[in-house]
Amino acid sequence: MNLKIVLTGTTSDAHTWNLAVVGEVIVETDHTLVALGSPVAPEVVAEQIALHDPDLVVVGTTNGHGGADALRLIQTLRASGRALPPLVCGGRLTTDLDDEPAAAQALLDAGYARVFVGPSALMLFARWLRALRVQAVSPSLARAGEGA
Amino acid sequence: MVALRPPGFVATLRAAADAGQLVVQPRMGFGEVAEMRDGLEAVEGLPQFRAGTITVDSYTRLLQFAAIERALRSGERLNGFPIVTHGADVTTQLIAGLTLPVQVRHGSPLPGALFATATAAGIDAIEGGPVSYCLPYGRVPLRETVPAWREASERWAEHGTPDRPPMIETFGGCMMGQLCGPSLLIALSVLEAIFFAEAGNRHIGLSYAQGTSCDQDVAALRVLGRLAREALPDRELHCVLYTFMGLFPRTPWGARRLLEDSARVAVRGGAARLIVKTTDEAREIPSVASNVRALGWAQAAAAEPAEPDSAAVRSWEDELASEARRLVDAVRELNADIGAALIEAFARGLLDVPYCTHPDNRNKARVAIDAIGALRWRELGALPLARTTVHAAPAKTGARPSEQLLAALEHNRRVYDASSHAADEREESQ
Repeated sequence: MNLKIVLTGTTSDAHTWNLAVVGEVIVETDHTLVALGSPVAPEVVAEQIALHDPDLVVVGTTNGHGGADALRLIQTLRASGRALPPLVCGGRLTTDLDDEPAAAQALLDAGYARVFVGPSALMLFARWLRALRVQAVSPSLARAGEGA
Repeated sequence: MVALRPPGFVATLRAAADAGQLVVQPRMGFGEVAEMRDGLEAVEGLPQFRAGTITVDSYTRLLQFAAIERALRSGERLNGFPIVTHGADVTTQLIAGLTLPVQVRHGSPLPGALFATATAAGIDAIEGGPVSYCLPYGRVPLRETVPAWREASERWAEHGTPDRPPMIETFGGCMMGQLCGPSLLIALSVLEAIFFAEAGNRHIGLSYAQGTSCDQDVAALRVLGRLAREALPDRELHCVLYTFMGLFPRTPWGARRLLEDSARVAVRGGAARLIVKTTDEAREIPSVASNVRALGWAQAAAAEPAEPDSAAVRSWEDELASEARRLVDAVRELNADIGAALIEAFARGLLDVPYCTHPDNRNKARVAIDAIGALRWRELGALPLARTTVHAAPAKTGARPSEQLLAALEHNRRVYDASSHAADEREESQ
């Protein structure tokens, strides 16, 4: 099963090598990658979603401000009223690690299907991606991967 | 009121060259004028030869001026000096009376406003390029950055005086900062230098970013200088080495050793300047103290007697010169206008920067680090290089591409943090 996946950074994050690694994970899992790089404004993400009609959007961040940026992103995308594919987010969300669990929960509450944080974040994402076995694009994309 | 200008950048380069000394320089940028001035003065306190840097913040680079206003109101710390927002007069006063030359560093795809402010403020050294400040920095197309940079470069060349001429440095030897074939970095640096020269610039710096092998980097620097002088025999050129831009060693001795090696490479390779990285590169904004310390270590290492060349260096010189010439020629053949040639070259994949996700970059080329730590092409894409260049890196059993990339990103950190350097740690703590 080949998914078309848009991979994006956040508005404020200039780091790109974290995304290069995530991109390699996506490609080696036999999915089609549309890489937007970083930093990327929410309007550009919206445009690219409309243009590519992806099955999944992955938001990666490492500069410690991604928690706030990713929250703003999904709020902006939802406010547009357009149908959205599932979004997942991963990396380093907050400058202070103590704040990260709360930031991750806030993202889940705002509608991210999965959030991958902590030292094993990349491995957890890769494992989740490899376990995806769905036929249709839906919010159940997330639940289909659980327990794998 | 007449402000005392800092020494000319070109004058400093000439004096350093006469003295046979490397010019060391940090990256440094603060939002507040006072803090920026303190940083510049701290570098000024080092002995000759050193240059100061005003690094411009990310919002200014991307023309997000409203965001700067918001940041200043909310107390958000900017990651550089908002030169356009502060304006030419403030910047003139910022550098008034300094006894070291100053360069503005940034990363702007559309540099017009920034260049205009820098010019008006009496800044005589700047950097960038239509490709190098486009592809790594967002999604502005080359067909927009080329004319923007042509215009900015032409205006840049026109300002200044004969005794204080403007200098412009290409970022083409850096691009994504790591994991790019050295011959491509050399070619990009040379091509952007040609671009700047055709826009009227007489004083041009050519960058090269330190990789994973000192021998390879020494050779690359020499080839860069040689090819640049062949292409632009009537310009005043110099090479600039950037200390490794990737994951820095975590141990104090490892970080210091990598930094010192970069200074040695710069000297052996014939670079005139070195832009350092600090030991606390985990933070976005390195402290002034760590910058000053890094500059001091670099100066000390640069003063050591240079190691003689190994046979590997000569071999690398031949290989890299041949590859880089091929790339430069392939691009120049496309169009007499270098800007148009660059646009077409990327469209055809004749230039292809590994891991660069800009829409104008093919992103098919790949490198690998070989058994002795040198960068080699693993995939060429459409790069016009001989297939024999491609070196299949010894793949670890079961290692996925993502794992290989992670290992490559961590290579220098791993090598320099290795316990054989523990002896230096004991020395450090005494």
